[in-house]
Amino acid sequence: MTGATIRLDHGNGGRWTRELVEGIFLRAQGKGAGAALLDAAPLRLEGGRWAFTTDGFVVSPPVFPGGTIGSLAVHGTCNDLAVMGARPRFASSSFILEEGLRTDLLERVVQDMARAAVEAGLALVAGDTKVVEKGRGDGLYIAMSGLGEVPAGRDPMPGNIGPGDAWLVSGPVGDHGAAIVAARGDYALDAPIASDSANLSPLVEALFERVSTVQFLRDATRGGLAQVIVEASGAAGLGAVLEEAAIPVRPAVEGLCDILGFDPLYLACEGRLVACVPWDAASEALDSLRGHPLGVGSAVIGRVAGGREVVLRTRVGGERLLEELEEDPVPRIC
Amino acid sequence: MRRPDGALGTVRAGAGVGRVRLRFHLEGTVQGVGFRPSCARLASELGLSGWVRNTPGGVALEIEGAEGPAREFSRRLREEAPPLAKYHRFLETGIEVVGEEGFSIRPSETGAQSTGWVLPDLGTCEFCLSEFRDPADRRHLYPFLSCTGCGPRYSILEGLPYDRERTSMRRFPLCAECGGEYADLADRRFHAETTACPACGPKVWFEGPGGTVDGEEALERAARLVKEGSILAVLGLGGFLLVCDATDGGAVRELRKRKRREARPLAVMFPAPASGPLSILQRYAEPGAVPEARFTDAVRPIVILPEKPGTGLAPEVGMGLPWVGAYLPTTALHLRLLDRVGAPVVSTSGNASGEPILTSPEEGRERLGTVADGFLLHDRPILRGVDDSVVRWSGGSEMVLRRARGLAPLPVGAPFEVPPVLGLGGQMKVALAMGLGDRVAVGPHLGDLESASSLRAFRLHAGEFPALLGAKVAALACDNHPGYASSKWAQGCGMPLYRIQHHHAHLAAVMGEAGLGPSSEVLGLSWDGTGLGSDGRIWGGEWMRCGYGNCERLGAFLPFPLLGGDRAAEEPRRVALALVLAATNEETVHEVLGEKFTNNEFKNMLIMVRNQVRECTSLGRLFDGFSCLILGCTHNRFEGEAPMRLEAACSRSPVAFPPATLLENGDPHPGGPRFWVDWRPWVRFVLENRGKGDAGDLAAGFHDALTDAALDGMNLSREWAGGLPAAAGGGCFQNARLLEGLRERMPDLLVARELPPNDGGLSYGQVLVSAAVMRGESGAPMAHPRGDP
Repeated sequence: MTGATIRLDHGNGGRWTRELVEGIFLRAQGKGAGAALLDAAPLRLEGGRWAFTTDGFVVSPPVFPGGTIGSLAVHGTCNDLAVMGARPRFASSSFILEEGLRTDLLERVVQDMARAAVEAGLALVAGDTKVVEKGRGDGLYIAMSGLGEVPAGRDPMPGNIGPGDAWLVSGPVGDHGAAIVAARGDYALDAPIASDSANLSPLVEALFERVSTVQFLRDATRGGLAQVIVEASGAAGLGAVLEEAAIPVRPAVEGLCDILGFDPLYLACEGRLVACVPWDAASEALDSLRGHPLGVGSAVIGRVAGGREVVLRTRVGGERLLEELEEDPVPRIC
Repeated sequence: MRRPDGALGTVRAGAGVGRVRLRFHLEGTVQGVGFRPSCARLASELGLSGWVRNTPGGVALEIEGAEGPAREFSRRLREEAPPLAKYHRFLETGIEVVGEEGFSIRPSETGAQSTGWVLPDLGTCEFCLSEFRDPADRRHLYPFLSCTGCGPRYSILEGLPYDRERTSMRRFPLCAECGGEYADLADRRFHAETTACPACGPKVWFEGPGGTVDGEEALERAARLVKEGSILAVLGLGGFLLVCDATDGGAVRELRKRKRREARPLAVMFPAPASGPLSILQRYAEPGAVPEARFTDAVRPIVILPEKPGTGLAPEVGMGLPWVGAYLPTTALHLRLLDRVGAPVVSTSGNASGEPILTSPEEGRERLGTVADGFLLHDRPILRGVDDSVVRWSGGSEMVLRRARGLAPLPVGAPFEVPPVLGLGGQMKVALAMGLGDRVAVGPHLGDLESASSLRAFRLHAGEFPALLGAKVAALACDNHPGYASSKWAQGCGMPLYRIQHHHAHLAAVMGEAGLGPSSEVLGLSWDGTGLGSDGRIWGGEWMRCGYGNCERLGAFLPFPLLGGDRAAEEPRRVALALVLAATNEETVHEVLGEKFTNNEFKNMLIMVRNQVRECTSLGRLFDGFSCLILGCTHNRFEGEAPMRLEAACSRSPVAFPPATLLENGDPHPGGPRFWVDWRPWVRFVLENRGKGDAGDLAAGFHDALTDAALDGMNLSREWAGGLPAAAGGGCFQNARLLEGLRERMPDLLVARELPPNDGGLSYGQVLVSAAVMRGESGAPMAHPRGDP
């Protein structure tokens, strides 16, 4: 029996650890107690190009409207692979648990992770669990690494970006950040806000199916939409002109930002694809994104420009320079 | 000023007994003010020979002749310089006589290191105006006439020394008549570099309904447009102005709507009849202590004056504030237009709100096409935009609120030798400052670095300003706030960079203007809207002991939560909520402020307080909060609206507030003050007395309470700061009521003089502090160039 809360003993490598792994982690994957516990997963990788990524997840609170730290870890890993053009295949996870963590919470997170992985076609092939003393961690942290296969002909890199190209985003921005802030602060909302946490891989596949000239892809996480475009423009040595009125933001998110003094353009997303395609492919790209359930709110939000400034044309006709995120308004967001 | 050594030249055999030759080296505002012609005239009058020429550093001059007249020349040169000339350095030496005949103005010397006396643009002078009005004069009604004493300078300058060929006037070759005047020693346009006439000078034209016309018809059509209630864009001295009839509420509303300037008061330009230039202005406004000359001199700033009630200015101009920013036409062009309109006009810089002033016909057509119904344009290229300057008077002395046309980039004295450091200012009201040895050239107001275009303008100015002054930048000085656009720009320059604490820079600027020596210290109030403290927290209501190179925070207003960060500065109701909650309880907050928020907003405000958002000690925000509690101002539609309304509301019968409590800061963190000034008793007092009498009595009482608190805090500070002189800097001292109250109690209080007390003065302070820090680093003592004061 695992007990109601995590004890330091769960990290001792002995019976406690085995019971934890069997009772929660293996069970979530539908594997029996007898499943072989190996030190590494043997993989047979064939030909082609592979993308490999790793990410840590520390979001607080671990359960939030629209997801948990478990599904977030899977989505985050898949998205990092997908924006490189890769199809997510394998992943490993490492859990750091704090002594005293409720096991039902852990179970929920692990179940959520397993479900998300199955949906994404991602095989969780390796895992590890450690326990730290009470006060030395905040509930639980997850580190996840992922491996994905890149089909031939896909190479979305900042270097491809050229003047005149179109910038697109796959839906309203800032949902994840706003949901976390609202959950953390217990703010009163005019309408509920849920995280947009999602696996973007199917959306990327839909895009590549119809647009072979995708220049660049990124999922807007910390720093939000603005940070992605500022960074990519910087890497490409170019600028951009974005239209504030074209950037989708939910009214409830806008309202919360107004209260707190945040800028939704810098607020984290966990399921929004930012894409750059040649201008003449923009409507084809928009159609293909909107045709997928994850991209119904997609919009063309601006164009790549010469110079090195990322300019936001505001609703009232002014111009604002977007710059790198200075001070994170919401730490521990993913 | 250096004393001339007075030595006379040696007498050369054969050159005549008593014949001497003197060489002068002069620095200061000696170019572009008619200095060389006046030297030539004086020499000719006294029968002396010699020459004069502009150098990159000033003026070089030699005269030769009989000893008596030569001495007379030297005396009169010092005592009777042209009106705008100001000597910074006056060196005179005797040299060998050479037997020269006649006096000449020699070609300017170029190439050597310039020492940066760039003149501001100067309003049309009285001599030119009388020609302008004289039907017999060949410049009758010519809008671009100028002379050695007036006309554009800074806005058309390509480089020093100041000669027509290094200004944008070089594209207008002089006609025979103008050329004759330019070369005639006896003419007042002798060597007038910007001179022009209808035959050879810039032209004016009108574009608008009915097509394009020029000359007198252009002015007629422009004036008609204004009289019809439409909006006119006028390309003036330093850029576009948007103009409409100030007595026509509909026109002013339309201007506000199109310019997206909701509520910020607009300046008004008044016609200036030759018979009495101020006669019309005085019908609408009360000049009071402001000398009449201030309205007609070369600066001609916008002066904030009490508006006479019920005189016919549309209420949309001042938006309920009891003041009007009043001025007279700045150039002959404006004078001509106003003559024809015959009524006061709203005059606001031609740009979208928050963007830099536009300067070319092309830009104007593109960016103002949806704002203006017609354009009055000219073809004299403006190389850099300059806004109108704004001043106000407090207790009999002038305070500069915005330093631009007519004032910048004139230098301000440095209290000790400063290296070539470029001060960049902060985020709002940015002006550049360039260290030039014994003085600091302070550039014109560049505005707030919020929009993309103002940032571009900032980069351009920061790049060219030192070069224009002939200086080579050795280091940069910026604010300690890393997020300010100017700080970010500095970061990317790859030069030595000094980050100067915001409130220290404010006080250093006051010290420098007062001429306090390098090792001086003051006990200062640094009161403003916001600034980053040395402890990473937000300051703005500080009692400090500081010198140029050191600064200690002694006291501050009790910190309070800044709900929503920068959003709190836009919504005084948020500050009011934080103050009331701190002084009472949730129940009272709800009772007092509940109706000023929606239910959810209100809940969320309280949640933010519980979530321990950032705090600040800003007096600017305290003003916001008290303005909300006393007057009900819930939102700032423009920067400083709520505080301005609170100042405006002050009655003559203040109610006495309870004193602020001084609390010892028992556990000061690094950078934390020794004491807190607790305003909570004031909050409770206001809540108890609201609605009982005139809100103006409470408004005045609040101002008095601040004065008392300032003094209480200073008295307590004396424990650590002894008998140091008292100083006050920061944007809160734009409040004349507050400043007057303090000066009454502290007649020796040092305050800003030539520079604005607000962030417009930061860059000068930054230069001084970084200079002191650099000296400290090098271990060299700070020298006072003119001996210790």
